[in-house]
Amino acid sequence: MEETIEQLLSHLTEGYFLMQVFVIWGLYLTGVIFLYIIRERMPHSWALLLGFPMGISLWVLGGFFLLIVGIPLHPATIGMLVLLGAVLAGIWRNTYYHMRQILDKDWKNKWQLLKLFCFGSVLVFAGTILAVSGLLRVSISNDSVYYYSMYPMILVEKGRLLPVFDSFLTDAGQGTAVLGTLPFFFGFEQSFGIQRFLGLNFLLIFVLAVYEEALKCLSRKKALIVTAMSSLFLATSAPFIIMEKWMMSNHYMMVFLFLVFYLAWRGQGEGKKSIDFHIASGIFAAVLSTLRMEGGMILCFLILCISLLTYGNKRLLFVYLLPLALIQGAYYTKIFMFMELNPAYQFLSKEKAWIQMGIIAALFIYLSFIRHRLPWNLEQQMPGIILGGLAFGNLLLLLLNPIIYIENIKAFAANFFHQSGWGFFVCFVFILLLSLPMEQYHFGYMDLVWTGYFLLGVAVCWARDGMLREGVGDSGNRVMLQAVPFIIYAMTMRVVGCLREKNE
Amino acid sequence: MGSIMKKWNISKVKKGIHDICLAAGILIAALYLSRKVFLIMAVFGVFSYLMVKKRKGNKSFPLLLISAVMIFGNIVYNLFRLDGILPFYQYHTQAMYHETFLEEGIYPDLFFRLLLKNKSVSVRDNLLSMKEIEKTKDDYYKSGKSDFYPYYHGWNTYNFVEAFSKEVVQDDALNGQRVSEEVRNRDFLDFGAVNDMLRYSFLLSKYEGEMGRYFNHYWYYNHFIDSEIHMYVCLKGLEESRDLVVLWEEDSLEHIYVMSKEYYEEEVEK
Repeated sequence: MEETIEQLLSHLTEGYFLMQVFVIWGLYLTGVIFLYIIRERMPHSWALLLGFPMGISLWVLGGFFLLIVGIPLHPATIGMLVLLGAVLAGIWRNTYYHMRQILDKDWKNKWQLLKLFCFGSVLVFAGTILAVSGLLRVSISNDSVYYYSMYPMILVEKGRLLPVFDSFLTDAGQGTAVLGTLPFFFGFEQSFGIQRFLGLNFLLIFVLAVYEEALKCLSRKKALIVTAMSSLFLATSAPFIIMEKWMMSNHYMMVFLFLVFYLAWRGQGEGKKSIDFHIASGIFAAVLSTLRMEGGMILCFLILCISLLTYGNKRLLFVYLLPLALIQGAYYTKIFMFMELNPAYQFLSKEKAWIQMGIIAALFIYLSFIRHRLPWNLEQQMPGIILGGLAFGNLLLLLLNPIIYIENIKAFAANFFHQSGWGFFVCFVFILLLSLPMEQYHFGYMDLVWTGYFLLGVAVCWARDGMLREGVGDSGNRVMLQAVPFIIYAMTMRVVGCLREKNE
Repeated sequence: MGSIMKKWNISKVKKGIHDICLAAGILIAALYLSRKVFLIMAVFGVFSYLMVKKRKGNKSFPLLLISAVMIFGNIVYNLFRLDGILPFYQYHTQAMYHETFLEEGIYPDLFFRLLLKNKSVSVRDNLLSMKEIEKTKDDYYKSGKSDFYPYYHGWNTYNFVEAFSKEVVQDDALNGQRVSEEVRNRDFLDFGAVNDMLRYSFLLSKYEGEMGRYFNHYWYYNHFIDSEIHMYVCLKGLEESRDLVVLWEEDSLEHIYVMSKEYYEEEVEK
């Protein structure tokens, strides 16, 4: 009987394989072209590796914009928006001048570029075939079927947000839903290939991210070994495998969290005039805020962490905070004021929306009037102050409702050490923290992000108005699983720092 | 004050907080991990500590060894435990419905919506209008069927079919038609419960206000009904047919029957 069903399913899904391959290619090319439009100092390797996440971002932001303003959702309209954005970006970045510089280079350089592009294309082609082939296993659950497949299918059918969508407007990340419309607009059924391709792409991004940083203070051989071991550790860790194979929004959150975290760090090394990494990071940050309902809160925290880096206030305001404020503000206005939504059960309520906007306003005040105006020794202690602030916030939540807080902590601890998707990861992190020397260690941006994320995750889960449970599918557990790549990255940098002592 | 600050070495404070957090983490691990795993991790932890932190020479090799052990540990864990955490599927087609779901009786609506695509579907035409619902809902409540029954029964299935098919044809010839138990057992496959499909069909609801809401749908299909509504599909002629017939039962459990129009005319129509 399974054979008959399989035969019938194959018949019903004829042509779907090719359509999904074309869509992945289309997203990749769109993203690469956009990155080359804004590119100034970004190495070609980064432009090619970030192409697919950028393509996804342009689709998500274009679709989200249409849903907010009420223009019918359609690939042609999204395409026009993306084209408009690309033209405006091209004018702003003086793309014609930069392209002439590339075209005027001698044949040897052009040949190098062509070879790189061909190599990238072959890699993308191979990766796409592998991702869409079905060879890589996946897992689906109720949320995958209803929130991230049926709901996008209905969005395609209706073309806009409707009040009848009820709690899906307060519980589901609309960005992930827009991403989920790709199969139904382009004539296939599921987005397994898209998610698996992003996972493969992400692993290569992680490899390059580790290698570049390791090469700054280690020999080439040691940098290669550190990169290989770190990447293998990520690729084999149970949390990453589960996030990558499970068809949920958490995988996209995991990838975009890391991209925002790392590109902000990476971009500061390119100097004040280089803005391409920052624009990419800003676009990924805007997408991050739409992928899940807590995305806005997480982005506020990331912006606070990024404020520790060497960027000017204007850049932080325009690249990160302004898009966040516009996206969140516009969405809340649409659902609470125009639609007058009031579901019986809702994760996002009017009160939480006001708190979110309040936090954005507070960040604006901090970035505009306080940052870089504090005494020098206080500025140096900012990582500790931010972490202390988050710890204090958690203490307040504990006092406000100790039962929910304590039960949630117990649920987190049970999930970390029982069979809830963490494997041995938490134990290994503790062992590494115990073993690595503290003497040259500086608690800065990298460690603040993952330690602060944990405290923020506890706070966000407390705000759900319900207790967490033990289980891999628990919402709070999945929020924590998303942090694994940047935890591994931070640990790797500590290992690199430890090896650097002997390398000097 | 300055001399107090000098004595109160900030790096020592950081180290102290670092060590307290680690100790707390190890204590929590001890509470939750099995004794065997905790013992293995403790031995590994002591080994790593001695080889790296306390060792004065080159730390490259010990770190390489530790990371190799961790990767090996990950692989062993994945091989023996991962499949018990989540069900993983190897897909041989491009559908979201996997062939093993039939045996498990899960997500029949994934198959249903794929089947409906680009098809013309005939359904009953005796769904109640709003006026009729308002007149009769109290009677349904008194009879024990719940006053939600006239709002949802048949309508949610209809909305689903309308949204995902090419066209829906309401045919009064289908009113009163049933699939007998004999025919069902002979030719139909039970694809499983569709309570979730009907619950989430609130997204397609045409009702404004309470009756269109998720909460009421959830309450009705997952609590009030308190049993499973099933979807039965006859595979005969489905691959070639461009026209389908979808019937649903008239009692509280609106079991759904899906078949090709040709099959319906041959075997079911009276």
